Amino acid sequence: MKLVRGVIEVLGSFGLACALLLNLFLLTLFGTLYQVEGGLFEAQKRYFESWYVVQSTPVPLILPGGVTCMGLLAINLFLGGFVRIRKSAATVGVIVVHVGIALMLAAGFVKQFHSEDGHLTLAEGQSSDEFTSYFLWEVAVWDASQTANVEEYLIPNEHIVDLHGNGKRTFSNPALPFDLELSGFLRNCDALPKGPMWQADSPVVDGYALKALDDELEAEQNRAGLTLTFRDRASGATRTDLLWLFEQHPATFEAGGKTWAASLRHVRYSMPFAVRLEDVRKEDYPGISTVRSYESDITQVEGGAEKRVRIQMNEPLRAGGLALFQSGYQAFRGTEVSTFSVVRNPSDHWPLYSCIVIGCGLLLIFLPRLYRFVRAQNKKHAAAAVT
Amino acid sequence: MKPTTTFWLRLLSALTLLAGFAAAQAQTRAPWTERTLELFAALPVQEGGRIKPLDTFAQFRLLRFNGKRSFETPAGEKLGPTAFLLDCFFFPELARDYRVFLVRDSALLEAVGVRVAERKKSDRYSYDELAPGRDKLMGEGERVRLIDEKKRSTFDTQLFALATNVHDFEGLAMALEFARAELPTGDSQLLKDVLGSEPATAALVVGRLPELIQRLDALEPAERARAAAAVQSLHQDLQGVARDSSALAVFPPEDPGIEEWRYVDGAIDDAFAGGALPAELLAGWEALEHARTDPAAFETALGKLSARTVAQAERRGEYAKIPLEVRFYQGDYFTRALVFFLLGFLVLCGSWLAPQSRWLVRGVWGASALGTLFVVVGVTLRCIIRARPPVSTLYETILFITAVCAIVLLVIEWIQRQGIALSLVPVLGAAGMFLAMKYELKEATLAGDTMPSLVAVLDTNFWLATHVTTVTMGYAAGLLAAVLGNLWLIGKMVGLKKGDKEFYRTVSRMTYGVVCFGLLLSVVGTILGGIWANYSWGRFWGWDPKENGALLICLAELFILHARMGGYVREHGLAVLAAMNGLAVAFSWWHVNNLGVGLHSYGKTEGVIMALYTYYGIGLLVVVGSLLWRLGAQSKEAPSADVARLRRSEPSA
Repeated sequence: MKLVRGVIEVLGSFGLACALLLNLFLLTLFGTLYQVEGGLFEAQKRYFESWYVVQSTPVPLILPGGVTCMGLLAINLFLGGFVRIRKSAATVGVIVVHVGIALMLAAGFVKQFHSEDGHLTLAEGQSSDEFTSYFLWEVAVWDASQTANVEEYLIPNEHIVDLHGNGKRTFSNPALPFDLELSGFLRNCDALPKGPMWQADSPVVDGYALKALDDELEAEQNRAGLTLTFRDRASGATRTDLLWLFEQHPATFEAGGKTWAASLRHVRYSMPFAVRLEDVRKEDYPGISTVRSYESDITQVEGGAEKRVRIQMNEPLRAGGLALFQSGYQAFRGTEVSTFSVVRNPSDHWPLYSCIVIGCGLLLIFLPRLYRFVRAQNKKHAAAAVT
Repeated sequence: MKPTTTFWLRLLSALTLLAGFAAAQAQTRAPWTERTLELFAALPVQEGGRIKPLDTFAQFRLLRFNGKRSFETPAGEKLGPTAFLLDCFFFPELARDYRVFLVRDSALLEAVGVRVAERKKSDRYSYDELAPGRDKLMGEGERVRLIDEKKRSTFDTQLFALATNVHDFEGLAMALEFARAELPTGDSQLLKDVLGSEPATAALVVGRLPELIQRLDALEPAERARAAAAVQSLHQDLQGVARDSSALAVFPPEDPGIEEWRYVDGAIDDAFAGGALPAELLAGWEALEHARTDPAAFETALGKLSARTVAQAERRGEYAKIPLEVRFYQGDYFTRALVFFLLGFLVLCGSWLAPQSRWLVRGVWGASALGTLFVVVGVTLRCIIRARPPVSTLYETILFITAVCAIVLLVIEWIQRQGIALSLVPVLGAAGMFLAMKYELKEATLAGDTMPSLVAVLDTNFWLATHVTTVTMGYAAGLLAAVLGNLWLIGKMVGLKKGDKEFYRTVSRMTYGVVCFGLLLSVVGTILGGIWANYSWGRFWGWDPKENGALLICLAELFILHARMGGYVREHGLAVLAAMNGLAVAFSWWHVNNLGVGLHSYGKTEGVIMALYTYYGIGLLVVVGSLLWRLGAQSKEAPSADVARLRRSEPSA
């Protein structure tokens, strides 16, 4: 019991709070500076989504990573801010602030593990009921002879992105007459005709091979690729092919009397409604090229019902648990294209609630102190005036 | 007229400027009358996506060229921005002799073949002095233009700026070429019939365009083809002259549905395309040019032009704030604030010599309050002119933070009445105004205005009023706490008020209080920023450098409060941490914008990074110095039992 109390005391202590805040400060500072060379995505993974960080300073510095630090901070906040704290009128504000911070941490947790985000890009007149992830990958396999109601078999991101170097993984499904082997995942690469001047990072298939590239600073611009091998379970026949984000045609394979296709792409999510882009407009300030506004007029189609909606900067569409934000515009050969960021986040409004709670809590702490201070000063001045 | 006439006309106009305005008669001019300056200053022009007074245009153009808003002509006359612009327009042969091009490094001129013997490294030059290197300078400017801004050396950046300034000066000097032009009508009978046999002016051509077209249409087909070619040729000549004169968009379109004001070439093109005829406005400018040597006639002509232009801008609903903006810049509120803060500082120094004098303290109060009032009035007028909350650009953050710091210090002084907060007002106020002036110069170079058009995502007064204002007040509190922390540290080191424990306790209490409210504002401001991002982009937090900068301030201030509540720091520790927090504020406020990554990257602002490193260096020096001083002081005395007890026991809140 004494040991448990001791552990609680340490985990809920001001000392640990200070250490964790300092650590988070350093992680944030280093993570910000790292973005100049490594880009945002890498900085996030390295500093804020890691268990530990080795910072290359003159003397290498080993710090708890963002996950460790935030986890410990949540424990410290709970034990120090709720369990150990003296409950009195004087500490109401402190408790309220900690409730607000806990709500914000919870919002972050829900966003991290239960949200989906991506984009929906439409040309005027086009419609779609699915959006595409910026970062996550999937391999889709389907019967290429089907033209309507195509059923896809999907291999998710987490089974793909760890297949670096010699890593390989075989996938089977009783409904499919073949096995699939994926290997040699490259996060950013080009598919090029193989020549003598460069070393291929994949097998050479039909004269083409993948060439690994450095990651892009903006991770959504990475063009992933990997090697795929079909193996017909009945005949044992195999075919190796390359999958690449910008491939012109999917890889195909004959098995069980059908032609099967496979493609590497960003993960696609279904929406409970379809969106048809009617019109998109970009308006500049007069005489200069600074953009004043982007606006998209869309038709939201759900269960046969149609609704006209305008999406513009700072005014998203919220429907069906999704939020669609105006995020991009392109004009190409007379065709105007609009890009919407699409987010499904169950904790969408929690930060607002936490902001209100924290603000109220801090006012509860500081205003009484300010009042007491001013009153004391006034008394002091009154006394001085009398003497 | 032959088709090559346009080429010759344009070459002639360029040669006229470059060869020294051979046709110029005036080597002196009568001073511009007050009324002329007043009318010209308030003429509206569209620039940078908004309608502004010519005075504002002139202010920032001269500031960009010259590094300040006034200069002395070779004749000894002191000129301000509006008079300078008038001279560029109407007396270019004089303006080219004005030393208004600030060259910070004479090596720039040596690189383009301009002699700089017996001149200072940083000096001002006239267009005539730069003219021998003009072509090479333009070539170098073009070379630098193709280099990514982030990769340009300081030398290249300065070279590009000088080339841009010289180019823009030429634009101003040629702005009234259209008003000086005399367009030959050639041997076309139609043109002679309609325009007369003398060379025509732009206004005459445009004014008689309907008649010209009507009579052209009435001609026999064979005759019409010949006459149409002559009209076409005249149009081309006019276009050539107009294109060289296109420095300013001063022609408000008749059609209120068209937002873009016309430069002279656009206005003439519109007329030839069957649109509205800007003949009256063109004639107005021509009348000014013809009356330039007669101050009274010039003033009368300007009055007529102003009345026409203003009436048209008013019809379009675009003139209402122009007079206010003219008054704002002519009021020069921030310079006046600086003067009062400096005056307050001088009186403060006097009060140290005579601490018993109530009048001197009242003097500090008065000067500080007036300085603060001028900043507040200036910020308020900017809000009204822009129809925006007080903070929407980095420049405005300086003004706002200065105002907040000054007001908070005055309030603290009102409560405490110990003179500590009051003595900081003139110091901080003057520092803020100096910084604002320095940055205004940067803005003049980079944006040509301190009231730029906001990009689409920032075009929301609600979030600018809530998030940006709150987080900027958080910066102000953090910086104020840092100043107080540094006061404590430096004061202890240099022996200020030695033995006066109450003084240091008061400073410490003030620091703590300011950090507390800084935390409140920073936390609420940062979360509001996240909420804005969530409602605009769909994510609350994206680890963007600016978001991270705001988080750093929150974390630093939370650390200070927890360390204080945990008993890990007392007065000295609090001062050290508050001073360090100031470094975090500077990083968040300025440094992240210069990293070149993220959604708030405004590119490399020359000189900002160096100033930041200087601030970091001085800040760290003070902190390290104070820690060494502390070690030295501790070695002379036994450890305090009070401190030891505090560190052992950890209060629960």
